[in-house]
Amino acid sequence: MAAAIHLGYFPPRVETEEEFRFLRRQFLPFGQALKGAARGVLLPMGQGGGGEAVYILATGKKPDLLLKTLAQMLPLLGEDPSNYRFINCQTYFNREKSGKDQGGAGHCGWYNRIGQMVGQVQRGLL
Amino acid sequence: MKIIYHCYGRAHSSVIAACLHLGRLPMEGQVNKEEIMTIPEFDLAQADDWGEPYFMGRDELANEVYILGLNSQAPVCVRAILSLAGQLGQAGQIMLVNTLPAIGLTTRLGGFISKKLNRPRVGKPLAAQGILQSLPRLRRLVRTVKKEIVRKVQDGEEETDYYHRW
Repeated sequence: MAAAIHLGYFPPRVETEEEFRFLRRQFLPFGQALKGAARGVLLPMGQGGGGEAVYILATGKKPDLLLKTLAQMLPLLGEDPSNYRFINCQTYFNREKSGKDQGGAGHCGWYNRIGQMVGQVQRGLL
Repeated sequence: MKIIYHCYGRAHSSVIAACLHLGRLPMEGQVNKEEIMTIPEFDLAQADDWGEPYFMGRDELANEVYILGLNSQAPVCVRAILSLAGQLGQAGQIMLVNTLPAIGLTTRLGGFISKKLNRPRVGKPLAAQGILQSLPRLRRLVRTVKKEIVRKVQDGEEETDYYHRW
């Protein structure tokens, strides 16, 4: 969902449950949860407005070591780690849950929080 | 090419495999416990070091040899590393080798006592004893890796030759 918003397939915000349900009914690639064998596989989704490549990654329940390993491998593969952003959506949501909820309630709130997170990523704040 | 030997904590089996690969331990003949225990990287890494590749040296073909601890998350982490390398067009430049299947219960128990129970004076010699028992399997693994490297290099050369001809 975050990748779809980042790439502009979906809007960053919905106002009504009906709007949300309409978006949920669209056949988004990898819209269903990824199964075990797909965990850890970087899946390219497309290019953002600034030319940045957008990927999704299913990490399982313990993402920390996986994300650290990936970040540590970048220099070995000749890449500059500062050109990469690994956004742990779950961490963002957990943090938001404990803080002020700005997205609203229910499904719309959940969706709008994803939109907020994507906005922060695009502005380089995350 | 980059060869990454990985295990649970990058403190025991991956260290020995890398040492065998680099010629710091012999591929034939006897090795004693003291030789294992005096390897600086043996029983050294802590949980904070998991996920960080550690450079051990270059082999005779100038391949870089690393060790890496992936805790119990080796399958998912290996998939991630390989898919990242693939996305960057470098899948052929990296080889990940799991050293855990080559070791037995004694090394695992020694590692557990040293690292989890924080009793290295008991755990380290036990892990070294286990390594001695597993040495034939670790040597076999390293031999296979070296053969595979040669095969990959030859395949690469043939591919380049093919493109040059066309």
